[in-house]
Amino acid sequence: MDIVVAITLFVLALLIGVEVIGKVPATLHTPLMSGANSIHGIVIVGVVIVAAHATSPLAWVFIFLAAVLGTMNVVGGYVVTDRMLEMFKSDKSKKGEGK
Amino acid sequence: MGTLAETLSTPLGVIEWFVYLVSAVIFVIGLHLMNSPKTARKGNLISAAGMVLACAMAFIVLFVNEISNGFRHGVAVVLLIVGIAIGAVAGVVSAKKVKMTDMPQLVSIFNTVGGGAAALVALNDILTSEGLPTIVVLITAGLGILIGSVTFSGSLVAAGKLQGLKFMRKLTIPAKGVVNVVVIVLTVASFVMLCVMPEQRLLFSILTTVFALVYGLVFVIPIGGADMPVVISVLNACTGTAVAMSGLAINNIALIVAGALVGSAGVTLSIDMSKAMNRPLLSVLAGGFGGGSAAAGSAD
Repeated sequence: MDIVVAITLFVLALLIGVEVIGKVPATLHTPLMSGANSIHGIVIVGVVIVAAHATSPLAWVFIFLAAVLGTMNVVGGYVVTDRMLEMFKSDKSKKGEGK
Repeated sequence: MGTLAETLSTPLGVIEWFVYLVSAVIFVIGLHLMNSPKTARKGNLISAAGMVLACAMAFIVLFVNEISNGFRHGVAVVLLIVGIAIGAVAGVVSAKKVKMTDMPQLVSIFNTVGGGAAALVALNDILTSEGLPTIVVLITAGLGILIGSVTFSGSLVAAGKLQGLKFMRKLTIPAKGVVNVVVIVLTVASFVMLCVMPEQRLLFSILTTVFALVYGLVFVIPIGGADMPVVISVLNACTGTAVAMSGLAINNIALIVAGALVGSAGVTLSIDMSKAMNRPLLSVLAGGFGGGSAAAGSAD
């Protein structure tokens, strides 16, 4: 029963993902890719959840490594996307000032 | 983890479910705002807020449960927090220090680590569960391992190529069509064996990981540097899918929805990106496959 509900959510979310990317100007392709990249850092929530069941040393290793990698993905992802978009803005204003 | 009924049997479980739903909605709004230059920066910050919300909720549930059972998983919690601290510092420092021109490589590196994390969560679910994993867990976590590993090695090569590392540029794969098919067959075979012989799950999950890692290399190495942004976008979509698969394995709505969202948004974006380069997506990817090399060659 659970997996049926889960697959339904999965398919509906796939459809939303297609719809949410509308007509993106080419200049925004890389920032949007980077922004989507940080969203899959949600895997860190999964790491926190599995940590609540970890009793063996093998599981500890998995959780430690996954925590390092997942957090790097999510934190770094948002910071670098913000820097890209900030640059985007200043590029425009510089052009306005006749850089 | 637990079943849906178990999760929703406590008030905290119901709150947890709805908080994940809210953060999923926030991700959708954030991504949508990133479609236009005017609102893009705000969209990214909104999406980050959704992430903070989801993580905070996961930690609240973790601590409530650990307090009630006397920190039975204390070691794991400490390792988790130390790991998060290390990852956060590494992420912020690399994102702040990177030169503007090197940003695409860094995004690819973040994609690498994200794929790795998804694969590790899936591996953990198969290898450390008490008793034999169910067929549903084997299939979903198996796919999580497979796709996560492909993106791990693939994105690493993509980052290396963009960085212009010489040894990566020189890498070639002889008879790439044959190698491609052989590696795909080996990867799929070990995944199928994992599903049908769960008693041997240690062996077959390691084989699936190794062959998928090799496939990531075989897939990306033949593709030219100019096509890398599109490839990174495709691999980004793959990581999203891997995260969704890990979410299906551990039965978590946040991972399923956010992962699927990134998966399909990533594919849509890849198609847009290759259109902007005046090349169909398939001919970009064909650089990595045996067939269609004529089309790829003429477009070069």
